[in-house]
Amino acid sequence: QEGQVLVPDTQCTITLPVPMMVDPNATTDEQASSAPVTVRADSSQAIAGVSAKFQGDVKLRQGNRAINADNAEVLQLEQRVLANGDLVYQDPQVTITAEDLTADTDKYNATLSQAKYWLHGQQVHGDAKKLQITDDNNIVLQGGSFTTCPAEVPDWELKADKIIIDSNEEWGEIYSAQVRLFDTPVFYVPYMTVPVSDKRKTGFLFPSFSTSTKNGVDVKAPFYWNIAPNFDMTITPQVMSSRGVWLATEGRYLTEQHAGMVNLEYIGNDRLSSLTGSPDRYAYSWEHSSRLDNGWRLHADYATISDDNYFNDFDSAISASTDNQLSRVGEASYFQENWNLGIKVQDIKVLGDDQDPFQVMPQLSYQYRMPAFYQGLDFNFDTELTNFTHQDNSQLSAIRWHMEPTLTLPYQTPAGSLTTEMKLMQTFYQQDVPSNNSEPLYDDLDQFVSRTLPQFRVHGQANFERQLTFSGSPYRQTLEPQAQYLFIPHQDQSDIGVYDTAQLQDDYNGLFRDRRFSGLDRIADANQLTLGVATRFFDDNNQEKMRFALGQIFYLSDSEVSLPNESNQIQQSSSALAMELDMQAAEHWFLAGSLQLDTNAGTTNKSEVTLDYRPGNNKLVQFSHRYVPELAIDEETGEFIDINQFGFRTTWPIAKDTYFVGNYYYDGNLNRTVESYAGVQWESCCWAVRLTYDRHLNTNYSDSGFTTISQRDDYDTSWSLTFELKGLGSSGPLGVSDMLDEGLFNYRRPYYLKN
Amino acid sequence: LESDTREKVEIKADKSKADLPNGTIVYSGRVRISQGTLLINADELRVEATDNKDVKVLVATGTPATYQQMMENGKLAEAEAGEIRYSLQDRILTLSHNAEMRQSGSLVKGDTIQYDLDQQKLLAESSGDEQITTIFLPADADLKPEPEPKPEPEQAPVEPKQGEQQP
Amino acid sequence: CGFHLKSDYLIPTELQSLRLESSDDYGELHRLVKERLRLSNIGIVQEQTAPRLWLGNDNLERSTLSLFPSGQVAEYELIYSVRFSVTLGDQPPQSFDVEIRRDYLDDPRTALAKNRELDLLLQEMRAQAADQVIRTLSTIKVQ
Repeated sequence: QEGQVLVPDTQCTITLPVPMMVDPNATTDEQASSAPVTVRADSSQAIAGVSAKFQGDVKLRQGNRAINADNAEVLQLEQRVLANGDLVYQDPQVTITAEDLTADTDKYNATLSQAKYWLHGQQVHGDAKKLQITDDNNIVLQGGSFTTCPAEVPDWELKADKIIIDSNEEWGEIYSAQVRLFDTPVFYVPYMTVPVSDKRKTGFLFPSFSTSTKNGVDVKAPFYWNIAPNFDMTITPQVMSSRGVWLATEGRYLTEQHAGMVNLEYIGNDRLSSLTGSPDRYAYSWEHSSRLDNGWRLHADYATISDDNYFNDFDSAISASTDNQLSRVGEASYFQENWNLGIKVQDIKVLGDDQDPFQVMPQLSYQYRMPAFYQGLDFNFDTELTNFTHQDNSQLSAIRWHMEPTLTLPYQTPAGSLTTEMKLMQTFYQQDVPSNNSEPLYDDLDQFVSRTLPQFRVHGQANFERQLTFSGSPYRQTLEPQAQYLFIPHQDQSDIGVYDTAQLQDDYNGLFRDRRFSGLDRIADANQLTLGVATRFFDDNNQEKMRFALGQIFYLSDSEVSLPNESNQIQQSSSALAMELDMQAAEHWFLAGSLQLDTNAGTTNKSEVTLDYRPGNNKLVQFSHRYVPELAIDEETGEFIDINQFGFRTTWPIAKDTYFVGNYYYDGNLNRTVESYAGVQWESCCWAVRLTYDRHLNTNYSDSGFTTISQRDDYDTSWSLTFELKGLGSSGPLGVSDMLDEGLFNYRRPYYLKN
Repeated sequence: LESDTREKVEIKADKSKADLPNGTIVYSGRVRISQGTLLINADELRVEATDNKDVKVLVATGTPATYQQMMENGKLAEAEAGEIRYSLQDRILTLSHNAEMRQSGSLVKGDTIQYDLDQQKLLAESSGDEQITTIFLPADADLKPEPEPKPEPEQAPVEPKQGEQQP
Repeated sequence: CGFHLKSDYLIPTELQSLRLESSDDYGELHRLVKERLRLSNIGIVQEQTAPRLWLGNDNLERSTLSLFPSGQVAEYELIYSVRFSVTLGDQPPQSFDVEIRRDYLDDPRTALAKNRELDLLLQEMRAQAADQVIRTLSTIKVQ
C-alpha cells in the first residue's frame, strides 16, 4: 500500500478566538461540579450567603470550566451563575463565545444564547441561537450550524433546527438540516449522523452521485449509527434510477477478544435491463473471529446471495465482482509452543453452474513440532482426519485419515547448508461409492484403501560471494547454487477418489517443492534432481538491490501418478526452465519479472514483467505485461485460452491537493481493453471531491436457478462523483487510499490468518 | 449579632495614650477590642470619640488586624486586613490593604472591602492592579481557601493563617 | 572470478543474542524465524536488556492480475506482508516491511484443492519472509 501523503494543510488549522484557559486533556469529571467557584473581578457586591454581583473583566473558574464576561452574578442559594457581556465559556472539549449564559454550579450544565462554538482537537465549529451543555456533557444546539471549514464563509455548512453533539460517543445527530455549499442552500436532509472524533470513521461519505450504464443515475447516502462504544452500523440506501432502491447495512462489533461484521443487502424488484421479471435480490454475510484467553481461536465466515451475478451487479461490501466463490467455513484452533490442534467445517459455494466441491464435515488436524530433539534432528508429525460429504447425497463421500511423520536433519553454516529429510506418508480411505452411480470415474474406487509412501529428500546449497564495484559504488555479490534430490516410490492411486487435489502450478517457487499435487489424494512418484542458482547484489549497507534466480528439474524417471482423465503424468526429461528477476534498476526504477521456458519444445510457458517508476510516496507509474499460454480450456469451444495482457497503472499528485489515479489493462489476444479506470480527487481541508470513470469487462455467470438472463453487454461504464466531508473525525488528508480500492485491479481482498 | 450593638465596647492593650483635644485615644501592643460576639485583635488602635465621650470610630491596624463576629444566620464572619475601620454609628466595617473576609460559604479578597453589618451587604473594589477574588464553596465544603489554580499568573498564592477557628 | 565461500552471516555482534517477541507468540512466522535464528546460531534470550526483535501481525491479501475473456478472474496475486522491528538498547526501534508476492491461478471447479494450494503458498511465503527477516539483521545500523 503506498500509504498516505501528508498534504501540508496549514490553512486548515482552526484558531480558537481565545487562548486556552483550561487544560484541554483534563477529563470533564462529574465531581468537578461540586468544586469551588472562584471569581475575579474589578468590583463585587455581595449579600452574604445569598448572591453576589461582579463587574469588570470577570473571570469565573469551577473545576476545569472557565467563564469570562464583562459582568456576572452568582446566586448561592439557587446554586446558579448568570453572566453576560463579551462572554467566553471554555471547558476541556469546547470553547464558546456568546451574549449571555446561565449555568448551575451544582450540576455540570450551562445554557448560552447567540453562541459560537469550537470543538477542541478537530475542525468542527459553528453557531447556535441557543446552546445547551447537558449534565452528561452533550452539546445541544437549537437553530445552529455545523461545519469543519476554517473560512469565515465556510465552503460547506449544515444549518439545522437541532444538533446534538454527544462527546462521549463522539458523534453527532443533526435534525432537519439544510445543506449549504458555498453559502447557497443545496438540499435538505431530515435526519443525519456524523462522526465527531477520529475514533470513528474519518471521512463521512456525503451523498455520492454516479451514473452508469447498469444503474442509470444513482445516489448513495450512508447513515452512521453508533449503537454502543464497540458496536456500530452503517446503513447505506442507494437509489438507482433504472433499477430501484438497494439497501446495504453493515454492522461491526469489536471487543477485547471478539470482532466481527454482519452485512445485509436487499433490493426489491430490481429492474435491471438484463433481468426479466425484476426479481428481489439479496445477500447477507457474517464474519467473526475470536481469540480467547484459554488459547482457542475461533473463526466463522458465512455468505449467501440470491443469484450468482449478484456481485457483478452491486457494489457489495461482501465480495468484489471478481470473486467467483462464497466461502462458508467454521474453524476452531488451539495453539501451543510445539503443537496445535484444529477442527474445521467448510462448504464452498461456487458461483456459476460449476460443480460444487466436496464439503468438509469436519476436518480434525493436529501438528506436532519438536526441533533439534536429538543430535540436531527435527521431528515433525502432521495428521488430519477428514470427512468428505456432498450436497446431493447421490454423490461420493469418504473418510480420510492421513499421518505424516518427518525427520529432518538441517545443517547450516555461512558457507552453505545441507538438509536431509525422511518422511513416511500413511493414508487410509473409507469411500462410500453410491450404488446407483452413473459416474464412470467411480468404477475403480475401492471401499477401503491404505496407501503407504516413504519420501526421501536432500537439499544442498553453497554460498559464494565476492566484492565488486559497479558504476563507481561497491557491491557485494553472492552466488548461491543449490541442488535437491527427491525420491517417492510409485503406488497406483486410481482406486482413490479426488476430493481436495489438483495439479500445483509450476513456477520458480515450485521447483524445490516435494509435491506436484495439492491436497492428499494424489502423491506423485518422483525420482528427480532439481538444480538452481541465485545471485544477489547488496550495496554497502547490505540492502539487496538485485536478485536473479533460475532453476530446472531433471526427471530421472517418468512420474506416472496423475488425476483421472487428465494427462499430468511426466514423460519428458526436464521441467520448464524457470527464472525470476527482481532489481532496483536506478534510483526510482524497479524491474521485476519471471519467465518459464519449455526447453524441450522451445516455447514460453509463462512470462510476466513489471517496470515501476516510484519516485516518492503516492507517486507510481507501472507498466506490466503477462503472457500465459493455454492457461485454461474454454468449456464451450474446447479451445485453449491464452492470457496476453498489457497493464498500465499510475498514482500521481497533480497539484498540492489534487491526485490522479489511473489504470488501463489491455487484452492482447482479443485486442480489447479489459479495464480502464481514471480518478481525479480534489481535496481542501474540509471537503474532498472525487470524479472517477471506470469501464470494465462484465463477469457473467449463467445461473440456471435464477430468472433467465438475456445477453448482457460486455462492458459496464460508470462515471461517479463523490463529495466527502472532511475534518469531522481527525483532520488531515484522505490521500488516495479510497481511490486505490476502486476498479477491478486495485481492489485487495484480505484473508483471515488463524495463526 | 443585632444584640452586640447594645453591649459596651471593651478594649485591652499594653499601652494607651490619650490625645484629648481632638478626642482620640491610641492603644498599642496586643490590642483586643470586644463588643458582645464582636472581637478585633490588632497591633495598634486609634479610637475616635464623639464630643460626649462615646466611641464613634475604631481604626485598628495590624499585620494583619483580625475581626470576628457571629452573624444572625448563626455563622461566624471573620476577616483580616492591614487596617480595619469600624464605624459604630452606621455599623460599617471597612477593611483595606489586602483585606480578606470569610462568611457563610464565601471568601472575598481584595484591596478594600466594605461590609454593612446590618444589611450584611459586602462591597469590594479593586485599586487597579489586583482584582477582587471571591471564592464560593459548595454547601458542604469548609471555608479553607483553595490554593490558587495555577493558570492565574498575577495572583500570589495566599496561605491561610494558622490557628483559624472554623465556624 | 573472485568468488569465495561466505564465512560470516554479517550479523552485527550486538545482535548475536536477542529477545524474540511477536504479537502472536504461537504464530507460524514466529516459529519459522525462531528456527532460522537457531540455525544461524543466534542466541534467543529472555533478559529485558537484550536487543529485541519484534514481529508484527502478518496479513495476506489478494488482488486481481488477469481476467479470462468471460470476465471471470484468471490469475490472482497473493500479497503477504508483515512489519517487524529491531530495538537495540534504548535506541529508537528500526522497523522494516516485508512484502512477498505470488501469482495464483484460481479455478472454481477445484475450489477445495485451490484452498489447499493457498495454505501451501502461505507456508512458502512465510518461510521466504522469515529468511528475509534474518537477512535484514545484517543491515541493522548499530550506533
